[in-house]
Amino acid sequence: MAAVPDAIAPLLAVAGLALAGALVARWWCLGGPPPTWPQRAPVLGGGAMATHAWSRYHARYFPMTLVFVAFEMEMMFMYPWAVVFVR
Amino acid sequence: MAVSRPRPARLALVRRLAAAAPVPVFVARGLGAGRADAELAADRRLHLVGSPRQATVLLATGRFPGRLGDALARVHDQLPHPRTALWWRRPGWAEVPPALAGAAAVAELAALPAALVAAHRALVAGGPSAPDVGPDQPPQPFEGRGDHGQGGEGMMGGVPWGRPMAMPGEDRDGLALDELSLDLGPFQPGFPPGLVAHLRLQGEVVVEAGVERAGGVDGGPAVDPVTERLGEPGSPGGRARAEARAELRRVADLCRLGGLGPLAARAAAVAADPGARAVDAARLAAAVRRSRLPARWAGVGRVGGIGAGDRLALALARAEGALARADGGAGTLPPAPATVDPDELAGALAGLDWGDAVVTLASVPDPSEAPRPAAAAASRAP
Repeated sequence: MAAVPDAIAPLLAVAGLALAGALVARWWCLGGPPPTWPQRAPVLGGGAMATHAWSRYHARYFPMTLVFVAFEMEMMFMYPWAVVFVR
Repeated sequence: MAVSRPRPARLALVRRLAAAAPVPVFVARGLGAGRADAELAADRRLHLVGSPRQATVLLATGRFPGRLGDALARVHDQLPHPRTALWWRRPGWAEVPPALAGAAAVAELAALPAALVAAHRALVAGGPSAPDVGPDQPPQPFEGRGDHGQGGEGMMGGVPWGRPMAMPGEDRDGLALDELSLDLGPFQPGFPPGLVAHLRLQGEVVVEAGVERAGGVDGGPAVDPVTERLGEPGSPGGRARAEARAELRRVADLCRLGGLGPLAARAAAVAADPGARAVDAARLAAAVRRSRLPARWAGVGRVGGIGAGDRLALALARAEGALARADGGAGTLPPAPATVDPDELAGALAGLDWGDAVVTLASVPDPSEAPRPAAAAASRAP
C-alpha cells in the first residue's frame, strides 16, 4: 500500500479515542432526559403485554462443570509441574 | 420556555433547517375516520412513521371511546419529547379523551398538513412539549421478599411488576419456547380503526390469536367525508368517487405497509385528486404490479380463499371501475370482498409470523368500510 505512515497504529488509536470521547460528550450534552416508565413499555400500537418478555432457561450447572473440566486443557499442562515427576 | 431569548445566528439557522425537515407524524386511527390519513402520504412535508418512538406529532383522527382512549394515552406517552398532539374531529363532540385534553383541533382533512407543519414549527422554536397523561410509575410496584427486591412466590418467580413470567410451550419444531401474550393494539399502522389482535407469540410466530373490534363496529358519527358519503344514498357518481377514494386509500395503506413509500404517496395523490380518472388508477395498478408486491403477498394471509396480494389487486380494480363510473361510464365494479368472520380471521392467523399476521390484519376489510346495503345494491346496478 502506498503512503501508509509507520505510526499508523497509535494514530488510529488516538482517532478512535477521540471519536469515543466526542460521542460521550454528545450524549452528555444532547442526550435528553432518561425514558419515563410509560416510554419503557414496548410499542404495540396502544396495546399492552400480558406476560414479561424475560426468558428463563436452565443453568445446568452439573453438565457445564463436566464440559469445563473435559476441555480445560491448560490445566493438563500444569499437572506435571504440580506433581513433579521425579525420574 | 415562555420567554424567548435572542439566539446567536448559527443556532437560528439550525432551528430553521430543523423546522423545514419533514414532520415525523404517528397517526392514531379512531372511529369515524376510516383510512383517511393514508392521503397524507402524498404530502412531502410529512413523514408518516410506523412507531410513536420516531414521531414528533401524534395525529389522532376521529373518536376514541372507552378503551381506545386508554390505548391513546399509552401511545401519547410513548412519544419522546418534544412532542405535541393534534386531533382531527368534529367541533361538537363532548367526549374528550384525556390524551387529547390539550391538543389542537382540526376540522378539515385538507387543513391537516398545514396544521401538522405549524405544530412541528412551534415545537422547534422552543414551544412547550405535551406532558405525560399517565403517571411516571411502573405499572405495579414489585416488592420482593429479599433485601434487594428479589424473590417471589414459589419456583415460578412470582408476578414481578404485576405481570406473570412467560411460560414455555411447544414449538412447531417440537422444542420448548416461551409464549408471550400481548395485545397488538388499535393503533398499529395499517390496521383499520379499532382493530385489536390478542396474540400469543413464540418468537415471531403467532401460536394463537383473537381478533376484537374495540369500540364496537364503527357506526357512529364520522369525521371523514368519504366514510359519510359511502353510507348515504345520493348521486351514483358521487358515491362512486367516494368508493374509489376509499379503495385508493386502502392501496396507499398496503403499499406503505409493504415498504413502498413512494408508491403509497402516488396512490394517496390519486386518491386525493378530485379530478382523477380511470386511466390514472390503471397506471397506478400497473406500477403496483411492476413492484411485485401483489405477487409477493399472493400466499400471505389467505382468508376466505383470498390472499393479501389478491385483495390489493382487487382494490386497484375496484378503484379503476369506480372512477370509470364516476366519469359517466356504465361499467360494473368487481364486487367488494365479503367481510371476514373474526373467528375465521383468528384461525387464519395461527402459524403465521409477525409480518404476515400484520399484513393479513391490515388487508382484511373492516365492517365499517363495507358499503351499506342500500349503497351496495345501487353500486352494483348497471
